[in-house]
Amino acid sequence: LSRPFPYIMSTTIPLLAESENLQALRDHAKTLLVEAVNSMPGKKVLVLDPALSGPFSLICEWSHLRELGVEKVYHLTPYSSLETPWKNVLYMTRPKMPLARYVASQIKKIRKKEKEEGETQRKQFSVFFVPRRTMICEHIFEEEGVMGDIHIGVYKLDLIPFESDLLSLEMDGVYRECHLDGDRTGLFYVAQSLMRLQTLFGVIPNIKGKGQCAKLVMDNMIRMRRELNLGNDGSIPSEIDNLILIDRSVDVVTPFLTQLTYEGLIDEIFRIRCSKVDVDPELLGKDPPKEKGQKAVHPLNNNDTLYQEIRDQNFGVISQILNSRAQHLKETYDKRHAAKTVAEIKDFVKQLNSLEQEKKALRIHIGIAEKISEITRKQTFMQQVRTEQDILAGGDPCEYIEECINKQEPLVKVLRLLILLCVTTGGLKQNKFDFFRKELLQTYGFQQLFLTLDNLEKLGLLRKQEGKNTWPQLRKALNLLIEDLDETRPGDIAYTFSGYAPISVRLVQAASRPGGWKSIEEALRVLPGPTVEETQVVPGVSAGIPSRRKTVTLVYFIGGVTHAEIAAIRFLAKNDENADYIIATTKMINGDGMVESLTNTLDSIPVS
Amino acid sequence: MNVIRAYKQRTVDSARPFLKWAADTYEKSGHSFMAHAVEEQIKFLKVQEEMRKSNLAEHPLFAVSVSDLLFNLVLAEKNKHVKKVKEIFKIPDKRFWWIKIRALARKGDWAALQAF
Repeated sequence: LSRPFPYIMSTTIPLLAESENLQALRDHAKTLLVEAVNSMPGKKVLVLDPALSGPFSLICEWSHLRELGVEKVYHLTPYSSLETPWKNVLYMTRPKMPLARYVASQIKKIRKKEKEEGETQRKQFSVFFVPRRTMICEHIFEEEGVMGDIHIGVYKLDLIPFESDLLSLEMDGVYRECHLDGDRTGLFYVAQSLMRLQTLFGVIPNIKGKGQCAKLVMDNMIRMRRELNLGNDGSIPSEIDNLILIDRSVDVVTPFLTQLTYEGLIDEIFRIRCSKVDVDPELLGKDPPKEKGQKAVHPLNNNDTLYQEIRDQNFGVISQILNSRAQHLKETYDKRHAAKTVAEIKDFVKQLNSLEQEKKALRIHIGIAEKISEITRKQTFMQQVRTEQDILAGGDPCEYIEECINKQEPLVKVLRLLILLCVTTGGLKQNKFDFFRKELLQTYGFQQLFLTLDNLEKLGLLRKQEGKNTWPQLRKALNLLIEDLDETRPGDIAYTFSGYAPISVRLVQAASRPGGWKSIEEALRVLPGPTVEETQVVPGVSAGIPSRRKTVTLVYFIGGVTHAEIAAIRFLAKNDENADYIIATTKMINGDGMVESLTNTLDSIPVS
Repeated sequence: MNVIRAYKQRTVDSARPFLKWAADTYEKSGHSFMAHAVEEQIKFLKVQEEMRKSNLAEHPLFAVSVSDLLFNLVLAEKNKHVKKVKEIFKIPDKRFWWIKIRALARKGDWAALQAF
């Protein structure tokens, strides 16, 4: 039985970009959602693909959905039945085969029951596919004999604004689909979302890309533009100057490292989902939960000015900042004693509201930071980070990894370390490779791991040594390891991983330098996949005229981006007064999520 | 593919031929590690099956991995079986010690741990 799930709206995200009006993007997404919901008249229930509930909460408030007649929201779960008195049922789902099956099974069950009970007022069904309908899903409906019972619609949702500088398609598994399953649908969506951005903000003149998927997206985009004849009238001035497409497979080192920024660590430890995190209710100053282990949802975004200030900093300096903030707050409060005249007291009262807010935010972040340091202070955590850094520097921590397996530490942790070792050494020696695979299979179980190991090997993330190891060359060419970094006053993006600069962001950084990517030709040659550059002619604008505003660069990560990489790009923006960056991605990811998305388990064989 | 098919079977007996077939295919296509891994899994399922039949199971011995099985056996003090399983699957001493330490600690058998 589907139970309604709480629809939680994080407070609206501020969109402050000076040069871009990203609000237009969300407004558009919202208008389309409202249209979809309104296409079904009267009161209704909404059955949502769970993968969509996060994105939807960023687009439209629950109260607004209610005004449109949505009485309840359910999650679409495998082969569940739906029991609801409302006659109108609206499904919204990604066009995936299993999900279409679940929808069909629910509808069939309801129709059967209606027949048995001689119900005359039959339910109405609408299915909206997001972002487009596919033949295969419609075929499933036909096969299951429910096609005649439903109205099919499309909700063209693409990029969702998370912050003023961050957009996400929130599509799972694009990296896996492109590189393992050979399914390029995701790339089509990426190209389409870029076309939409160009209709809103004008043609993007300069495009760069690295990696197979980047090239495919670029080709797609240019073809689409030709077909649509977009921008040839030159009516919309270009607001975005550069586009950099980065295929995740170009940098498979960064996502497997532990992120060491505040936000990155929140993500590593608690998992951030669509700018929200689950925490203990006590942390938010709420009553302890009725059921043990129940969590409260807390939105993490720039509405919280304290969070905005600290999210991208290295965790090592967070406690210091929080401390001085608390001190400052106390002093401001204490000023009330000094207030003598009526005017002074009035002034203070005026401040009170914002002081209270600051106090609340401070308490929450101190709570979260404490929880994090409980973990980061542990021996296991410190050793893990040390091992990662050791691997980057060319060390051989096989013994430690073996010990982790022997202690049966979490499988994801072990796989992350092994992957990191493989991608920075050009692979393990044959006997080591076999040894680790055997240890893993015997420890974590064949049925758990066999297919996953195969996946990782196919992707080259776990592999035996072949060819020359290019890591030292890459490390030097891109200056990836920075020693003696002052985390309180960082001078380099490497602060995000306490001494390692993400490859992906080094590429972005190099693009903005004089000479552009020419200056890192050696590194680009070593990194996998083609390097592409292209200029799109913008009619009506003669080249070479310097514009008065900052240059705006859109960096699009195909296959996902981590919070720490975003922090690094924001650092670039902060330190260059002439450049602004917007980041787009197919999904927010981290190492655990990457490993999980590449996992396949076998069903267990029932015991006779 | 055959591995996936095997794991869709209802019983270990009906799964075995598929696994055998998979092992052969891997061997022929030069994936000797994979072939070996599947062979090992066939052995593992057999060992589990035998233990169930011989009614060893006053303790829950069923496990998803070789290490877990050993852990359970140490916990149940089936020393003869511990030795046998260790030999069949060629468990490295280092891992075996860790399994033993973890099992003894779980049991709270501090005397045995001391003697270790």
